[in-house]
Amino acid sequence: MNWQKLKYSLLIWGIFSAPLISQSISGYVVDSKSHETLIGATIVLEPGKKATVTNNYGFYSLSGIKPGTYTLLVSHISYVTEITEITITKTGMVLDAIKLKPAPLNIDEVSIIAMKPDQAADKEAEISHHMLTPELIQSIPTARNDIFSAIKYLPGVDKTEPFSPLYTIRGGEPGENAVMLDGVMIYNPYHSSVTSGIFNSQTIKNVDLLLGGFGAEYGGRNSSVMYITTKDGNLNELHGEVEPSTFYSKMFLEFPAGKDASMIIAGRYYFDLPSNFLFNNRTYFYDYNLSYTKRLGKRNRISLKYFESRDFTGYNFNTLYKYLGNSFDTDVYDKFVLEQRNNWKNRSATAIHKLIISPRIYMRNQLYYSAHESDNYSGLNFSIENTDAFDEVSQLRWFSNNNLQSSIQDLGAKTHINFKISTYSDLKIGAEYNSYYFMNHIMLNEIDNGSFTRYPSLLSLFAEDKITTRFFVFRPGIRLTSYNNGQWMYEPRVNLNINLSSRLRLKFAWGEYLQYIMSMNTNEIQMFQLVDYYYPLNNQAPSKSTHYVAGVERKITPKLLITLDAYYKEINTTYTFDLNQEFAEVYSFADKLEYGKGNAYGAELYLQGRFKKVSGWIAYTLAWATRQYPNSSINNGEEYPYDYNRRHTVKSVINYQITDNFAFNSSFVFLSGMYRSIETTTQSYYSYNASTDELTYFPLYTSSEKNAAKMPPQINADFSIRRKLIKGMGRKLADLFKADDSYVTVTIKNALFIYRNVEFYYPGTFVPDYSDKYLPFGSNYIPAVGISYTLKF
Amino acid sequence: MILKPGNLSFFILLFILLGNPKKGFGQEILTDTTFIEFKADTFIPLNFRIDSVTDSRNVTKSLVGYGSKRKFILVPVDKEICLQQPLGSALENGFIKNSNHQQSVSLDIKHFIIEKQHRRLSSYYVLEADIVISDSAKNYGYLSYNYFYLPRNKKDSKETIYEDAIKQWHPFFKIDLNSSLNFSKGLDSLKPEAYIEQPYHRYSYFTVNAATVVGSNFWQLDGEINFSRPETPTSKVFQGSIIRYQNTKDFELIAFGKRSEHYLLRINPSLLFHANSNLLIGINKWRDNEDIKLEQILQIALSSYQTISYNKVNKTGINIQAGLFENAYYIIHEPIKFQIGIYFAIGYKF
Repeated sequence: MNWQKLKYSLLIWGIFSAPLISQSISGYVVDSKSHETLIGATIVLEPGKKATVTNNYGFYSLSGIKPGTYTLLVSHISYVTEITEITITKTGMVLDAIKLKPAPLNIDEVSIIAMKPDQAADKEAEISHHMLTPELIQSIPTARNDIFSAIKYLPGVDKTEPFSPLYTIRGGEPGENAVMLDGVMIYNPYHSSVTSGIFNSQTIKNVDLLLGGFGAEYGGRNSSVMYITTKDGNLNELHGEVEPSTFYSKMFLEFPAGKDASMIIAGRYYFDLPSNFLFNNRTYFYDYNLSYTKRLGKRNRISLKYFESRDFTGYNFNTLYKYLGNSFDTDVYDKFVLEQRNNWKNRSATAIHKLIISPRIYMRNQLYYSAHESDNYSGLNFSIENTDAFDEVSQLRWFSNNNLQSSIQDLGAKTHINFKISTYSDLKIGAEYNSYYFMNHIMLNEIDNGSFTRYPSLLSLFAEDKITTRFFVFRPGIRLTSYNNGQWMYEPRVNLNINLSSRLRLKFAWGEYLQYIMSMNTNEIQMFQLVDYYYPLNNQAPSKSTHYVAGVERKITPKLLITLDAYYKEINTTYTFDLNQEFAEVYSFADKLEYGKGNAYGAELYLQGRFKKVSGWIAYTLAWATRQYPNSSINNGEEYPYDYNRRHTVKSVINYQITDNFAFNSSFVFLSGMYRSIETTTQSYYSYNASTDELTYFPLYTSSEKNAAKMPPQINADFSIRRKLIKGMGRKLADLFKADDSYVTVTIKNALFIYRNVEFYYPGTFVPDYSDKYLPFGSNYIPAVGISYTLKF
Repeated sequence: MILKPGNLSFFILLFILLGNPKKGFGQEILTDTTFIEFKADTFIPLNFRIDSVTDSRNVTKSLVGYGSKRKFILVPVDKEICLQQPLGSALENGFIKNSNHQQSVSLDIKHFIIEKQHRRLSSYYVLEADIVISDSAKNYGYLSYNYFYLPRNKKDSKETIYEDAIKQWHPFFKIDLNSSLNFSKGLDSLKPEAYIEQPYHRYSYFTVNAATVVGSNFWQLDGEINFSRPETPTSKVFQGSIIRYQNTKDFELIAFGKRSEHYLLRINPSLLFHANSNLLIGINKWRDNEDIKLEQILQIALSSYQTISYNKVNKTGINIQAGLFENAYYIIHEPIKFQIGIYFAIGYKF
């Protein structure tokens, strides 16, 4: 460890954190009806204009206040500003929770964008930060109320394979994205059957997505952090939302559970009944959340949260092929087997204790357990008669399958303390310990390719200070980690915001990031990589990347913001798994780990906000990313374009709130083509079965160069309308359940139908007239209509 | 693809272009309200005084119905059809003031709406109204209407239709008001059809039914939901939605029907004869698919049942049905087939 650098870091804190002893006030800001804590509420103390913003737990702390009487102004974009008189005593105070009343709905003010606070306290240090709310997620037509679908409309975030829920951020690996649910790391938080997330958006209060240059509080992943905060539940009365349907239903209930306690019960269930009936396929998922929060006076809060999801996808197309064969009087499908089975399970349980130790000190302690299991099989077995130029008949046969199993358990404990040192300085320190279990097992073409089980551990410490002045916010931080009781490694991070004027701000971030748990890249052997197969490093140096981010942010109007972020990500150390082996090669995990490096850089232009009744965003991204594995056979050790790099992307989400009963939403995406390894060489295998007198010919396609081809761009435009029901059965159901409202949402996917989005190319070697061509495949251009009904009470 | 008038995409684009966020545009659509006149009957006298008419509906107090029309072809805009005065005042003003009567009553409008309702082969307008009658000493129950109205002229505007419906209904309401009070005092032995002596519960009962059918070569499960108005002689036809699972030796079926029609004939306060007919569309899961063609996964079925039902009049609670079930279904490339079975259902009326 470089102690010299660490000493400098500590010195910086010392200078900026010189305590100025004075009085403080602190407490929570909550919704007056539900008592749900509010994130991003602005607290201003007059006279003196001292200001702050509530954190992710709805907590605030103001210091540097002399004893006396003050006016406290508390505001939030969706609430009526609360003004109260308070008297500060010599000892400082923990105030009762400040209750804000929801603002009456004004059609001219309806916006899906939750703008950051406009007032004096708007000096958040985070760069490349996106905040999503359930309302915003709901407004994206084809996001289906799903976080992971919604974030793909943001700049810097891209999907990976077609049909895969995985995502990549600024040229990073999918396995380098941290997803945290109330502070618990969740592994593979996806449903395979609908390529969506396992988190029920009805339970979510807020989603913070940090694309790069994030602070020392977060670690363990190199690329991004998604921090999801769930609701604690309504303390006063029963509220909820129900979306009943034959195949897909969801429910959310929040209610008081004893004195100063609240509960949430939420769940979703999906069964693909048409597919089961039509094609004998069995596909379903469910997930549910349980949450209990108890307030013990003004200072203590205890939350217990449990979450579980289960997913089974089983697609076998034999029945469909049989029907097609009979309809079109052909036996071409008789020897065709295409099958996919995914069996996934996630569980997480956590106990959280939040404590206001004093007006200056806030503490959060957490114990958690997070587990993921997946068992994925995909196989193709296709046989047809092939007659060659000499009229010799042989069986042309493709035969390929793979079965990958993965199991992860993460038992963790963490604590962090926020210390309001002075008016200018907020110190945050914390510690986290994780004990892991990892198991992976691979079978390729029915040959066991080995498995491993490991039990690593990770101890992390962090410290971060936020120094806030009128002109700048400076946030130095450091994260220390010891993996498997090994030597301490450090990750310095710095963020700086400079306020050039009330409307113009410059932002900079620099940081080093380490990752000890890698994800195996399996897209060479699987048609779609649907989950991350995590692999804990053992004797190797951790994967490392360094982020350099610079941004400028300008408020065009109080509700319209434009930002330009430029980033450079040096991927100092990375690893991949060269799984693309020859047919029957014996496989060993450790032998296939290849060291590599790379970089990713680009710029993101982002216009977001509201103009009259129109709200949403438009974003453009220009990006490059490369990888190089110098000692491997991958591209002969030469640098090549990264798999998921898209040079240009244009994305927009627009919400037009025509009336308070009727909203029109649209989303548009233009994505440059990704790089792909196109098969250029055929290796031929022949086998003869003496018992059947059958000659089988098996062609294996290989690529001579990694990512040498570029796919064509993709364009998608989707629309939806959301209409409040005022009559008919929908309204009667709302009346019956005394619901506040009922809505019907109609979604039109791929409405323009103007562009064929090719997702794969296959060699047409054996297809007449296409022997020297590639056949395009893809279904992401076919229009589809969906209707859903929601009861909100 | 070329964008031209007639394409859906063309109109979506047109809508976006026309959707100029100019102030007032959305408001214009929101306040698309039509005002109509309450043409009250002025001839029929009441045998008592009206103290007050209150309107406890949780909607705009002058609202009598909703229309809907499309703006820019695609945008479904709700149109409110309102009286020129609050409904309570309109009703109150429609009564002849006569202070000579000793008795006075108060009216409370719990429900009032005029809707176009669709049956399988026809559609018509229905004026639904629930009006509670009470005085300081007693609650007399309520008058519940499902007043069917067929426009005289198909080209009549909605405003004319709504005005005429109210104009036709209003004299009946006044007559029923007189009769129901006379009946409740024992002065008249004839109970008006619209009069329900029970306390008002809700304007619509929600019923969930789970049924099983057993036949010689099949069995099935039906799930059904429906909303029905308080029961009067004019409210014994209503519609519901049904989902069906059927298991036969050849296939399993899952089918849906949207306008399942129900007909009731009350035998006594607890029992009724209940008939139902459904048109369902479903998909078959064939047991042996060796010779099945893709198009044969679809099925169209026409089914009905006739049962005796334990179902208390205008009361919530459990209901039980038992009777006969008949079904005819068609699968392409096959002749129409018939099924008959025993029907048994249990449900709950909320």
